[in-house]
Amino acid sequence: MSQTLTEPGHAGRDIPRSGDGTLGSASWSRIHELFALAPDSVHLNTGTIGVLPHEVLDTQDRVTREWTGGLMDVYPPGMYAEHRAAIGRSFGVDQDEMVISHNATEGMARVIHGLDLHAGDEVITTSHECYSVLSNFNLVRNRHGISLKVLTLPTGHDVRAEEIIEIFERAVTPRTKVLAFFGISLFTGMLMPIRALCELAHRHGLTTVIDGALMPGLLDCDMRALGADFISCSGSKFQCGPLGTGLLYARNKVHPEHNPLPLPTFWPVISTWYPMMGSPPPRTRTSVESDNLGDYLQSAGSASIARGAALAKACQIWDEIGRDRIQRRTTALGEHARSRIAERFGIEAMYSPGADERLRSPLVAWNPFREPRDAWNVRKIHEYTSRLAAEHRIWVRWTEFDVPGSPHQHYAARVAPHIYNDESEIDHAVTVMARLAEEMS
Amino acid sequence: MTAIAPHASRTSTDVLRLSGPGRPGHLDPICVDDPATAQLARLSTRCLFGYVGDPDPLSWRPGTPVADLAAAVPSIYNAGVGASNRSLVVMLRPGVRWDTTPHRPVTAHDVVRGIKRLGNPVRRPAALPYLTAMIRGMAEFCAGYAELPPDATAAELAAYQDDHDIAGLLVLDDETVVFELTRPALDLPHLLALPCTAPAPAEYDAFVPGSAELRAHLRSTGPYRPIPGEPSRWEPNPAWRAESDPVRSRHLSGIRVDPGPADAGELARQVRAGTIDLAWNAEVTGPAGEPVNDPAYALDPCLVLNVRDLAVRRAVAAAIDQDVRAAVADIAVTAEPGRHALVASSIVPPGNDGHLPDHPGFHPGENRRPDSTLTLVHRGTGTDGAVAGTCAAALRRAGIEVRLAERDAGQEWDIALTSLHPAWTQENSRVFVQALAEGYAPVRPIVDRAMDTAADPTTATTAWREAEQRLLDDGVVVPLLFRTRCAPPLTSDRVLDAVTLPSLAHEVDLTALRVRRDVP
Repeated sequence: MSQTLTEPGHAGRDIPRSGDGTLGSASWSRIHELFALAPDSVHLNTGTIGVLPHEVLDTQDRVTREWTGGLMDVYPPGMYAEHRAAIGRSFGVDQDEMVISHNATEGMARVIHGLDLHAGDEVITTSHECYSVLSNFNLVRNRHGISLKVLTLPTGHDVRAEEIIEIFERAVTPRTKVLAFFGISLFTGMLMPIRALCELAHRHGLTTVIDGALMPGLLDCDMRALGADFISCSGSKFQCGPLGTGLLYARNKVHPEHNPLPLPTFWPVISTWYPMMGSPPPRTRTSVESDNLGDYLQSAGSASIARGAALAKACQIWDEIGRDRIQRRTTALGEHARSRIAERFGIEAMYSPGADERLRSPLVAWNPFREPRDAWNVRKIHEYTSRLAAEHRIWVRWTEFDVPGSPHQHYAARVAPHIYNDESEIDHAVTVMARLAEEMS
Repeated sequence: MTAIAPHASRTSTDVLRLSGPGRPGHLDPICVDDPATAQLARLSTRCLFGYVGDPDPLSWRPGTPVADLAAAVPSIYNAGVGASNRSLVVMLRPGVRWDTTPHRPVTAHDVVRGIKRLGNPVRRPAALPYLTAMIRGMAEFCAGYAELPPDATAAELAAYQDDHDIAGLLVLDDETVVFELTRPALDLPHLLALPCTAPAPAEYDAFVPGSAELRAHLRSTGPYRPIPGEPSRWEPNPAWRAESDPVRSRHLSGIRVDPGPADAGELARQVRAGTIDLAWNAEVTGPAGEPVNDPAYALDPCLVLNVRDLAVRRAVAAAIDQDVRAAVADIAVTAEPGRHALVASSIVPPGNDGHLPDHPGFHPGENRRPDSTLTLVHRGTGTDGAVAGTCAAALRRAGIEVRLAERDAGQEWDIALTSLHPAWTQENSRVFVQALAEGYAPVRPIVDRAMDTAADPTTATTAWREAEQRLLDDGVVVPLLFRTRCAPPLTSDRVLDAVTLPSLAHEVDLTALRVRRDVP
């Protein structure tokens, strides 16, 4: 559905560039020009795919050409050592803990299949996970006989962080080994109380696996300080890297102030550099790594050097703009969208939390139709978002999820603003969406 | 699969000739509950999902449901299934029409009508519990429907259906139905491939299900349709289009089923002579071989008990020992060499989910002989009489008096010789156990637990096995043999493309058949 195109003739324009020290103080309208946005469109679906900065496109193109048909050794740069070090610093972790993956799904799958789980072990997760999380845990259930407890979290304006934590705490049993949850829900936009849930896991000796697909590029997060064991992220959503990029954080040292638990037993499936005989050294119990887990996970045959370079460039741009600044900006845009949507559609239409600031992300999901029962009409929501795209060049998406106590599968429209959007775009989009919804209601 | 070009010449030699004992049953979808009738119903009745045969006996395809009236099997890839697997969105395939005048599209409302009809108080299909256990609100709908008298008129039945909804069946528009379930149903596409779940046109509201009047007014969505007034004849359906049917073909100008002998040998002689093309409702096969590719065996035959006294049921079960089963196996193998037979000590046969090799079988418990004679009924066809006689003799040796009788509607019975064929062969944990548990309340909570945990194979399998063991130990069912076809059906020289379907108990898919025109 995305129609984002490179603007013609951008090479001759005064496009902002990284490295000249100006991005940190550039206005948001100036930063808007960084991006290869389709003209006359409103892209409010960064939760699915972000818009590449021109420089990222250029990097990918340039590096691809540099490494095409050459006689150079492609393997060392394919380990992305410097990129991983730089990106790791951006997220508060070290190079041996950071992997450039192909996407969040791949990272989650490799974590799930690398966990040391056996028959009877219990994993707690939610029904609001990306389907690839549930499918991979189901695979482990079928293969190894684990028990999978799937919680359906509450939705709506009034949800509070304490409710979420209590639901997880009640679900923990002596057989529980893993808590796996999303960082930001792609379905409802809820931001999880990540640190609080990790502390819950610490109290019970559990391994934490976070689907952080929507986190990088949106949140200024210190992955180590969150206290999780694994966080798998997308590089092509809010981080605005190319499709086919992701980031995987795998805890590889113990910083007790953040996570006092020993490192979990973990099998880095899909690895060229895992020893061909014998085992790696025992996992460290200190803040000094005993081996480079990131290298094990990174080494998976020939890699696209351009892909890693392009993602690294996107991360560099983000660092120069300022990740905290970006988070404040996207939060403000999200609040603007939330308030406009609530005004036009009603608080009762909202699936995203609103009352508890701790659970608010810039993603907003709601039922756009007047009739509550239209919230379980997949044909209607699909037509709605299709018409927004076809008739108004407004890109949003619809999502589907379970709601506790409801027998229906619910569907919602979802907006996901980012730093290349502004308040006027959001206002325009909300006006159009309200008018179309009224027409279709 | 393509139909014969409209302008191609057709002659009476294009008519497929079947013959066998008995008469075709009623083709009202809710009346189709035996393989022989299902084989014929497939000619004119389409369901949301269906199965396609494959000439390769090793193929897994014939057991996997494909979209028939539905545009696609719901999955996460087409937004048809959610994470909890309790909501399935089915969109109808465009271009499918009833052979009404004028031809009319099949709609989502027809789908709902077809499901609602299942609960009528006049004639309920045996498969109904599979659906009431899964579709939200269906049990309540059927409970209310059952309060109508068994002689309710068509108008009264239609009024109930019109005035009451099944809460978990949502019609979003003419092409879309949502099935909301009370528990995850990984086998729902299989359920919605059962003939009884076929959509029903609005015209059916004017007739009592299974009535003679309806027999004369059946409507078709398949490549053929029954000829009014000639219940054993089928003609091409002018409303059918090959491009809207990925499951069936049409290569014939007609099909006919004529009365024939019950003797398999005589039927085989007629097939070889070319007098008929295929036997119907009879076991007539080619040379036997070994069963291939772990076929799903049937529990065939078994004894189902209708005796309240637990101790008496256990006495019956205890009297049927391995020697009796071996004797039954001799009868079956001699009379029907086209089926591979195994002595059965459990309920779930090999090739079906939940089968346990080396099952410990029935655990004898406290038992006592009945005070009165028990009536053992059987169908009276094939080997039924001999098998029933063997069982009766064993019971008499154990001091249990038995009276044999051929089954008749309305007859009271204590023991029934019957068989259970898996209506579907994949994701079929509940096909055997749930069906038998319906008549035995103590097992139903265990069955509920098994269905509630369908997403967790370890827990669900444990519960199914617990239910199976309870049915055995309480003498609800006494297994005799597991059997499956190991020989293809015998066809005349002019028949081509005779593939079988597990969903038809390995009968031939008549919609795939072609006949050579150079062979009379």
